[in-house]
Amino acid sequence: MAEIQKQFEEFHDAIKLKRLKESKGLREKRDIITDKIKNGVKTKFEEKKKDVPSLEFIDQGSYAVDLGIVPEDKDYDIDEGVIFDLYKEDYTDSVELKTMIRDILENHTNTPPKIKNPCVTITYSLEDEPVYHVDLPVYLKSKYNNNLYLAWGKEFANKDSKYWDLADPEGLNDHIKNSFTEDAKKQFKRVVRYMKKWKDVCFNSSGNSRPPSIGITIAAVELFSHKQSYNSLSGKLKDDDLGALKDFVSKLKSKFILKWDYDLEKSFYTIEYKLPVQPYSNVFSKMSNNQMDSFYQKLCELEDALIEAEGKSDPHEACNILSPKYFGDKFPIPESKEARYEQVALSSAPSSNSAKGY
Amino acid sequence: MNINFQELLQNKEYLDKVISVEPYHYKLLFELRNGYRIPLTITFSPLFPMQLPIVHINEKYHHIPDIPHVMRSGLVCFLEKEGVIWSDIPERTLDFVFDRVERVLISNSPQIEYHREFSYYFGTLENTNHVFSVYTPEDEPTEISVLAMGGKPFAFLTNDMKSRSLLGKLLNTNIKSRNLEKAYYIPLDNTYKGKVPQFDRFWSNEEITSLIRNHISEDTLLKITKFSMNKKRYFYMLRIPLLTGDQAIIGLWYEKVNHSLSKKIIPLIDDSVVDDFIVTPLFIFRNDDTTLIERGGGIKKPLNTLLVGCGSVGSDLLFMLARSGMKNFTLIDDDRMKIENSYRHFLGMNKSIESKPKVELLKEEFENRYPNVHIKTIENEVLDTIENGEIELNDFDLILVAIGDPNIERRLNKLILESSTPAIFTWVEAYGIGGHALVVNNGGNGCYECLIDSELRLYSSLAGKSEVPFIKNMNGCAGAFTPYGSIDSMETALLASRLVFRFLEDDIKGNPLVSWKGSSKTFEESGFKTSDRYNQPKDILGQDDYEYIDRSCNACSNLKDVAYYDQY
Repeated sequence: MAEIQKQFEEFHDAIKLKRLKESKGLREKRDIITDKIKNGVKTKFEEKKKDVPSLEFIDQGSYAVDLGIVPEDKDYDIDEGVIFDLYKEDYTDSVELKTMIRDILENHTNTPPKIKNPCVTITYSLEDEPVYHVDLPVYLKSKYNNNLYLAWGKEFANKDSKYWDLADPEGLNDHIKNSFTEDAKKQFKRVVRYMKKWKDVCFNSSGNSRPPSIGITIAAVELFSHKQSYNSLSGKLKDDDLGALKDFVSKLKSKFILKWDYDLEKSFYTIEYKLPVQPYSNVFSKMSNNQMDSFYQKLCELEDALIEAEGKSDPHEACNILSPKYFGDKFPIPESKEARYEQVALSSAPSSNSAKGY
Repeated sequence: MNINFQELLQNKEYLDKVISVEPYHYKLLFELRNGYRIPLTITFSPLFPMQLPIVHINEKYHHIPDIPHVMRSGLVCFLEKEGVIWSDIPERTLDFVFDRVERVLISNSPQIEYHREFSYYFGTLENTNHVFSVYTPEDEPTEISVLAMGGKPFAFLTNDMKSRSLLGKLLNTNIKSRNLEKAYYIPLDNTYKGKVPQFDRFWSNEEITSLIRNHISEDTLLKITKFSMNKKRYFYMLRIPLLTGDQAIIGLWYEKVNHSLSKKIIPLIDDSVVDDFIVTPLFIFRNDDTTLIERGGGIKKPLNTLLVGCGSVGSDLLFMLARSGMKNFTLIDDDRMKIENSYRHFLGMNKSIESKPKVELLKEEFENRYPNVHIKTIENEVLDTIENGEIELNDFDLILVAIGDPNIERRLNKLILESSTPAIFTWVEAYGIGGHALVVNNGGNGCYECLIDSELRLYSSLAGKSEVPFIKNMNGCAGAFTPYGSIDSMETALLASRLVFRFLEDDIKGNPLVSWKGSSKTFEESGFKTSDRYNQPKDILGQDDYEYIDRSCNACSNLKDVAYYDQY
């Protein structure tokens, strides 16, 4: 079995989004925006001579659950939910408040803010700085229950495409954050990050061909199990990320079912995973049958590669299978025997001694 | 050579914290390529790089892992096989050493690899004792005997005359009953999947008891218990089925040191007796019916062989086959061992003084050397022996013909074709130009007669046509013989032996002719010419030749079985 835990951990250090260091800028940006929104909402409501609603902000997404990886294109993103203490029953147009926020932040950045279906996106592009964007989903409450509702829709969309969608951003955060503890939690985070990196390396970024991160994360919450192995050299039990990753990949694979597509007259491997909180929708629903099938095939390849790597005892050979093909060039490859031990200049000299045997 | 070892070590990037402890002795940190850093000590020989240094895991700073090729002392056995040449440039030798050390430390070879070389590793055990065995392991547990001299085991056997006389011959002594002690043979039922003992890592008592208890039936356990009552020393022979499908035979010898211990305690089964017994692993050299064969080169079935002709080629052939594990021979030869051709005969000159029959001398010699070999002798001419009914060719599994007389061989060929026994003819040509072996009666066409053309020349001949017979007098002696040397007869016997093994492996199709050729220098200097066939390359001559087969051969063409013929 390959002993390459150290390489996995180095890889993890290289791809992990560092909360304090790298995200500090993001946090500052977030605080500036939330302050601006608070003030802007106050002004807008006062202009309309309406009661100013109280606002709550909630960190969302991978940043909130500490599962972020350094993005390939340096386009860091931050998700910040804006919860109005208002009732959806008073707002028939779900885009009204999103438009308000867009207007508040109109001149905040060089690139104008944009209303997308699930959120308002603020794009930062400061000189000499990587690009950031902040996604602001907007939530309202209901007079009749304690749920939150996400404001869905674009500015000029027709009525049917604008609605209030049940959501539970905090519940989702808790679901992910509370799934594991201690060493298991650390390994869980690493495995999710390995999978995200694999996704970036092995899938085309266009459209929905990449499986959504939330899908991988939700699946991992259910399927991941903490793996350790006995290291015979050190005599200690150590985390075995290769084993845990392999185990997760094969479990995820087994969640696919073969489905016949009548239109295309072909069968596809498809997967469905329900969000564990409201609205309990399928997290892979945006992927087409073709995309899901290719997701499955890629998982198979990844599983084969992990098994092959596990079978190598030479760390160079083991890592060479995984990097850069599956995890990109951040995955370190220890030097080869040949590179380190120059030329051993060894020959096997046939002698009567070696033929004697027992 | 004056080598600055400190500098040599420091220059390696994979080594760190090199500290000289005393001359030739250093401690250091070795970083494996997977990033693991392990503290080692290295001790150079003044003969470095001709001799490799000794490497230990430094147990002051690191625990000694229980992995193959690392001894309890931390010694890393990084070079276990012989026959390796390494670079004589110190920098490279060091690379070689650490490459090997790393291989030991990071390789996780599957257990089966160690099982494959069970015997080798078992043989490396430090306190092992070597014993013989003439007991042929069976499938049932059974009581056997052990020859013990002064309490020390010498050989396993069964307590019957046959086994005792076999061992007696091997050891050249009389085996007396009073020197025999009881032993118990235990074939394990289930495949053993665990560690292979090696170097200073023999099984612990717990491992032995679990090896026994988990791999035998209740019934066998009872038998062992019954056998093991009231003894002060215990001898066991174990047959262990391995992951490879092979079976290892080993022995265990327990000597009781705590004499106040209850007589009901049995070391093989009770694991709480660590200090009460000394256990010694026994490495068994098997000389039983199965092993001579397995070790020799793979003769699987007991074969009844007729060897016709016990001259130089015949005697060498007998030697090679017997040494490879063939045991039952009938020898036919009417010649006596004479001094003039003894220099190339297996028996040698000292056996030629009394001018005894060759068959008699060979029987004596071989049965002495190889107690398992059984030889019947017929001191007579072969054709007469067959015609007077003294032997029946169908009684044999294989006939080897090494007479070297084409006229007798022609006739013998016909008699063989009338029987159902396959044969191999073999003969050598003059002046070392080559030798031949021909399979006959192995299904389909092709026989000795096919070789002979209308001009009475042999197809196989490497010698060209000659009016003068290839005969030369040696030292003016009266006896005439074909001049060929000892090496040539041996080479020819080797060619025939390999054909015999192929026959046993069922690896011969039909009746091929194979030949070897040597130098023609002496031959040509003596005024002879080689044949066209001699000009063929050596490797072609060594391959199976079916070209000689004569479809209209009066001896074999009317045989029914032509299955192989068309393939060639």
